[in-house]
Amino acid sequence: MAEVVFPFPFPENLELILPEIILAVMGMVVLLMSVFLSVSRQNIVAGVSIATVIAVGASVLYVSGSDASTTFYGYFVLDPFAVYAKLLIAIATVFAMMLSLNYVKDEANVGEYYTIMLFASLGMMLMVSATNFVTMYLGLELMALSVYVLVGYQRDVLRSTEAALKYFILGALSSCMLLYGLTFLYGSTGSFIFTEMGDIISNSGEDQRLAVLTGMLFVLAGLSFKVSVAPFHMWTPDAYEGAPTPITAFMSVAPKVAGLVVFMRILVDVFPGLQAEYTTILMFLAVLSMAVGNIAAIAQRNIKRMLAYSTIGHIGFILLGLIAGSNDGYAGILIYMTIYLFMTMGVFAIIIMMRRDEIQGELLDDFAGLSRVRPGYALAMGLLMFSMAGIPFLGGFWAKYAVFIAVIEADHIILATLGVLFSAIGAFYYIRIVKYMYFDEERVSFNFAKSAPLQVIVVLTTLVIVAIGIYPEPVMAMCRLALAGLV
Amino acid sequence: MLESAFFWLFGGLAVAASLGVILSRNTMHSVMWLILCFFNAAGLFFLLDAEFLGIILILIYVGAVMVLFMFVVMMLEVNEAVKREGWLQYLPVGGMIAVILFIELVAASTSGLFGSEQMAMAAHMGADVNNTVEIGKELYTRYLLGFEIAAIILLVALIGAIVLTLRERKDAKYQNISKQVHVRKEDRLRKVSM
Amino acid sequence: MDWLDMALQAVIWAAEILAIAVPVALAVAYTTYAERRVIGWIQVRQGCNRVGPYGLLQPLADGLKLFLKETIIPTKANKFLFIAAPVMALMPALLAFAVVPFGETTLFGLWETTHVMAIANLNVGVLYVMAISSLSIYGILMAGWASNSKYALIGAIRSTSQMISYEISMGFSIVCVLILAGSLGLSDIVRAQEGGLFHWYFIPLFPMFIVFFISGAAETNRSPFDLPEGEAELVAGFFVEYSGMWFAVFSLAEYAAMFLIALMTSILFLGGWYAPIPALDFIPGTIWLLGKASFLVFVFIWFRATFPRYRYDQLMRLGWKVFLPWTLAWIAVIGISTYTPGLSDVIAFWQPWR
Repeated sequence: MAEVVFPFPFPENLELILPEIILAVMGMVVLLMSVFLSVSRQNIVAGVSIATVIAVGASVLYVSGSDASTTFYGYFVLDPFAVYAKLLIAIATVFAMMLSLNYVKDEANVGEYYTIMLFASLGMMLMVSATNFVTMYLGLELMALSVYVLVGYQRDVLRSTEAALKYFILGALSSCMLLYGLTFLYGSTGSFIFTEMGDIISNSGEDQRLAVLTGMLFVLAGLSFKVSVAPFHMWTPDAYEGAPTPITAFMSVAPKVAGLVVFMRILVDVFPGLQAEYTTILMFLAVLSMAVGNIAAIAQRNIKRMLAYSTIGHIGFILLGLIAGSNDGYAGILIYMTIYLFMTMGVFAIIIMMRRDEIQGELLDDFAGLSRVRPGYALAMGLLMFSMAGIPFLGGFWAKYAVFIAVIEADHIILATLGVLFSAIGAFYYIRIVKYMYFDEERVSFNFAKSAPLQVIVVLTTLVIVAIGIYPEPVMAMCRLALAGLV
Repeated sequence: MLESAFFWLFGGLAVAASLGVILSRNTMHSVMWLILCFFNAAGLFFLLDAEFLGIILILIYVGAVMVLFMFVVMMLEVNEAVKREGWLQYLPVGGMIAVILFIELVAASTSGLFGSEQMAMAAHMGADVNNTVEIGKELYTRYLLGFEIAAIILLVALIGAIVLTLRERKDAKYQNISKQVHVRKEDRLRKVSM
Repeated sequence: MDWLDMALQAVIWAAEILAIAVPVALAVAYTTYAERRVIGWIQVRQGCNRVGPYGLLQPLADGLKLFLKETIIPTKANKFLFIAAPVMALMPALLAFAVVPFGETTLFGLWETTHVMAIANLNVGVLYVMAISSLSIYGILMAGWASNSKYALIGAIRSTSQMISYEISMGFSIVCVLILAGSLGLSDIVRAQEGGLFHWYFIPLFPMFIVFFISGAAETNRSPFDLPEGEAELVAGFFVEYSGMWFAVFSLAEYAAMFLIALMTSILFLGGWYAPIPALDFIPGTIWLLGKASFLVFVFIWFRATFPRYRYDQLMRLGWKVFLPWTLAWIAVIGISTYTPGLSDVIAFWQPWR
């Protein structure tokens, strides 16, 4: 037998994937650590996990200085766009882990919880670095599978199990749709690589149009499921409500960041030739998401459900940036996601603090009279809610401002008007919480969990939101820089 | 000629077996039909000189996945009457999806994209080309990243399955053997001064 | 290719298939005889010695008896699957023999080059054997389910989980062989072990050799892993409802599978058709291969005569907590030493592809 000659040399610039390697290795280390540590010392596992993600964030910054940008024969890319998305994912993961510290302390299998969280963020990081559908899909599945498990983590809580099952079945369905669409695209282009497919699709004739359009529809639908765009949002409220609250916080930010980044990459790289078509579809999706998110949220009494609809609404606003299809629009999306991350994490930190021995502290009524007992938290919550509603001069205002300006510049005046209208409707239910806190009588006794990490998150996120609100230029400049990788 | 005869044999049996899967009333029979279907799909792979894929299809799907399917089906008590109930109710939606998919497939296959002039006929490469080696070369070089991610996906699936199923029921009493073994005399014995 | 050629080809195939299937059936019949004699010898008693000289016609008498017995089909059984199950059990056991190379021959100088004596010399032979032998689960599962009997169902479930568990370590131990031989073809694997005893793979892969052989015993539901039959608690396990010829088909399948495992072990680890010393190669390879396989069949019988049956949790522990880590570790050992400077020169002795 002859010596096997490999058609490819050893992959170059492997250092670019260092953050992912750290995550994968540490995920397994954490898993083994939890086996060998005694039950009382399981909190070490959490500490190691948080340190890992921080190290990953640092290593992302470190390798971003490298001259090269692709590795694994061009199947993995680390451009400024991916770097920025990875930093957001790392921040979201660190926050979610800090939120978990108290929450899962008493649960069994703490080690696996953090391991799966590490693998989930690994999946997301691979997604945002994907230059082709193979890596993208595998990263997506890694992320999705991990999040299904995390949602159903509280095995003895009925609604957690129910939520996981619903999420799993609909998630599997959406993956099928994505794959079905991919078969059409692969069949008509013969490639998996985004840019190659984009070139072929742009130059393709009329006869391929049907197959490509069908493929695009299914891919968009599949991705819309993952980022919970209406009408593919059905799983969101149930999954948000049933999941352990730190996981709700995690899944309302990190997978959305990864999903939207992939969304942007695919639209820009694969379908530049079909911009007119996909803009029409996105307009429909955006208006529907804004409407469903903001109107259905009013009827919710459970704050986690309310925030689920709020996420759908926010995603609707974010889609406006995609519709604009300009640099300003894409930068707007990054700005929106950055600010949304801090707002959401802050709100969920307060919700977790509300959890007392018997009471979940998730109902809106539970917030009644908070300002008299805990004026500090009430103020933070109030600021975050105002920011979510988009009241000027808080962070959330600039987020909305960025996408609205972009969409107006792209001459979609009606869309912008609808957006403003829906955000005014949305403001109602955000501000209603402020009303509960400041103008209603106290109904239950407050007994806040004393947890330094949670307090740090609340203070930090509120400060960030206020700071961005007063002085948004640095964040905006950063997001514009990050776009260099995309366009 | 022999090849096309085998193609029609495998293809026809695969279609017939798939019909058997959805039409047979006994779930166990459905599983058996599905196994037959996989076999014929493997046969089609063999005809394309992809013996590695064909064997792997049998090894993984027929040898492992379907066994677990059967395992589950054996444990279930499927009530035939309940199973058939309300199929008329789902017919409009299901039928619509089926028709749409069918139209799409016809549109795709008649679009000329998959005509023989478009897709260069997969030529038989002869006995010198070992497609196991070729798949290995592609998988462990160009698709190495994807391969590794797939490995981690499997790891997560493994951990997830164990985390979600391995738990101590709070409503049942268990004998904790390691606790019993590690018991020391101080735990059980108390000196009482008389 | 005209019709005449095709007809000729079909006749050749039929002859080849018969040349394998008939000896296998005979070998199985006489393995039962050997089993009874050997166990008798080990337990210091006679064994069968009444029918014919030394009881040599006993297997034929047994076959005749089983053939003449009534086949009983339970009323509540699923008739189709009940009858299909024994066939499904036997078919894979025989099918797997299609790729087993029994040796190399020039047909007494008739051919200029040596040909491998196998019905099909597949280049994915190992995978084929794994795939086909994993199908034998279906016969057992269907028998257990279709019988509509508790004992049969429990036996089938035990058997399935046992076979799936041991198939994994079996597969991994084969991976070690593949790394050394650099091929999936059974005849290539044998040729890679040419050159005498020290080239055989049981030397670098000794733990894998043991794992493979014991897993093989578990795969074929042989003692001490015969829990699916477990007559003490399950009467006869999955074939409790079978009688007459259908029952005989199950034991035929079991013995054929045992023979297959013995042959595979000889091929993968014991140098296949090569003699331990090259000087002894004048004896035909087929004899060497069958001799090795027969010895391993003897070891199977030896197991049965001496070991008590495993408890079910011990069985699972052995499969998952002992064999699996061992095989995984050994793959790492072989893989790392293949590419570590220094060690690679040592292991290259067994790696003819380098």
